[in-house]
Amino acid sequence: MTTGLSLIVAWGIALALIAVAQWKRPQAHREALKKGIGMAATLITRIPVIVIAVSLLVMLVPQQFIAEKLGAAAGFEGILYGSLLGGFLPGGPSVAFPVVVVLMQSGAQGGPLIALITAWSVLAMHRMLFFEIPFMGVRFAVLRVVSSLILPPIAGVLAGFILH
Amino acid sequence: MCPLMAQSQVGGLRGLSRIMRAAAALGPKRHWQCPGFLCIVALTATARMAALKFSRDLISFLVLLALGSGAVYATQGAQGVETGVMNGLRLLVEILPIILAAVVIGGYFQALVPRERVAAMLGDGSGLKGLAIATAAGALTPGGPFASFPLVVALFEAGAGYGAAVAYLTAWTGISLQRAIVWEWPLLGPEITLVRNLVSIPLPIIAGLIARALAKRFLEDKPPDLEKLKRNRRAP
Repeated sequence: MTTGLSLIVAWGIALALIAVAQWKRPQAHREALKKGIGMAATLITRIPVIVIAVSLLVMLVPQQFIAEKLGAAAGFEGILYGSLLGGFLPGGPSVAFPVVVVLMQSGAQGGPLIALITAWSVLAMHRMLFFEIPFMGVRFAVLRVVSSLILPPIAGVLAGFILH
Repeated sequence: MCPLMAQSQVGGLRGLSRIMRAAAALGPKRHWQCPGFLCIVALTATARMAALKFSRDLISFLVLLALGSGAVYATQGAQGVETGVMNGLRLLVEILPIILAAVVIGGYFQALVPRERVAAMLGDGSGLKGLAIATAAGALTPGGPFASFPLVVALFEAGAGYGAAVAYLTAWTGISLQRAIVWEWPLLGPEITLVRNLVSIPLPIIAGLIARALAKRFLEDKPPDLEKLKRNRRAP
C-alpha cells in the first residue's frame, strides 16, 4: 500500500511543526499537548467503530455486477456506470488500477474509464469515510461527498470531448 | 448541565467497557466470529449511549456497525462477517501511526498559527483566491490516500472554510503527480493519463464553490462538529 510514503510525509510535517514550536515559541508545546489530547480522546472511540463498520458495508456492494454493466455500456450511460463503480471501488491504487486495466481490455471507453478513476479518487466512499467522518464529522463528510458527486460525470464528458 | 453531561459520558464509557468485558468472558475466542454477537454488542452499546446522551456521531457509527454486520451475515454468512471485521482490523493497524501524526499536527498547528490568519486566507469569505490556494496545495501534497488528512484537519480546525477544505481534498485526491507516474502512465498509457489529469484541474474549484454554497445554505457559520469537539474536550 501507499501508506509508507503517507506516513513519512505526515510525520515529516509533524516533526517540522514541533521543531518550529521549539525554535519560536517553546510555551506552545503545552498548548499543543492539551489540544492534541482533546483530539485523541474523541478519535479513539470513533475510529475503530467506523473502520470496522465500513469494512463490513463495503462487502455489500455488488461490484461485479456494475463492472459487467460498465464493460458493455458506452456514452453517457457508460460514464454514469463508471462514476458509480468508481465511487464504491475499495482499496488503494494497487486494487483500483488493475480493475481499470481489466475494464480497458474488455472494451470500456476512455470517458467511462476516466469517470471511474475520478470517482474512485474523488468520492472514494470507503477510503475517505474512515478519516473524514471521525476527524471532520458527519456533516463535513456529507457536504464534501455531495459537492463532489457531479465531478466524475464532468470529467468523463470533458474527456470524451478531448478523446473523440 | 455541563458536569451532568460529563458524568453521563463517563457512565457511558464504563457501561460500554463492562458490556465488552462481559461479552469477552462469554466464551473462547470463536465468539468473536459470531455476527449475532457483534450485532448485540453494537445494539446494546447504542441503546445504552442513547439513554445517556452520548455523542450522536458515535451512536450512528454503532448503528451502522450493527446494520452492516447483520446485512453481511444475511447475505454472506459468518465467514463474510469475519472477513469484513478482519479487513477493518488490518486497516486500523495500518492507519494508527497516521492518526498519531494527525493528533500531533493538529495540536501544534492550532497552538502555533493564529486562527484569524488562516480564516482570512482560506475561510469561506476568501473568494476564488482561497480556493485556488487550496487547490494548488492539494495537488502538490505528496503521498498516498492518507498523507495530507492530518494537514487538512489541522487547517480546518484552525479556521479554514468548508470550500477550501473540500477543494484541497479534491485536488489532492484527483490530481496526483505521484499516482500518475507510478500507476496511471505504466498501466493505462499516456493518452488516458494526460487527459484525465487535464480534465481534473477545474474540478476542485467546482467542488469548492458547491461546498461553499451548500454550507451557506444548510450549515451554520461555525463548523458545528468543532463546537462539539470542544465541548467534549472540556467535559472530562
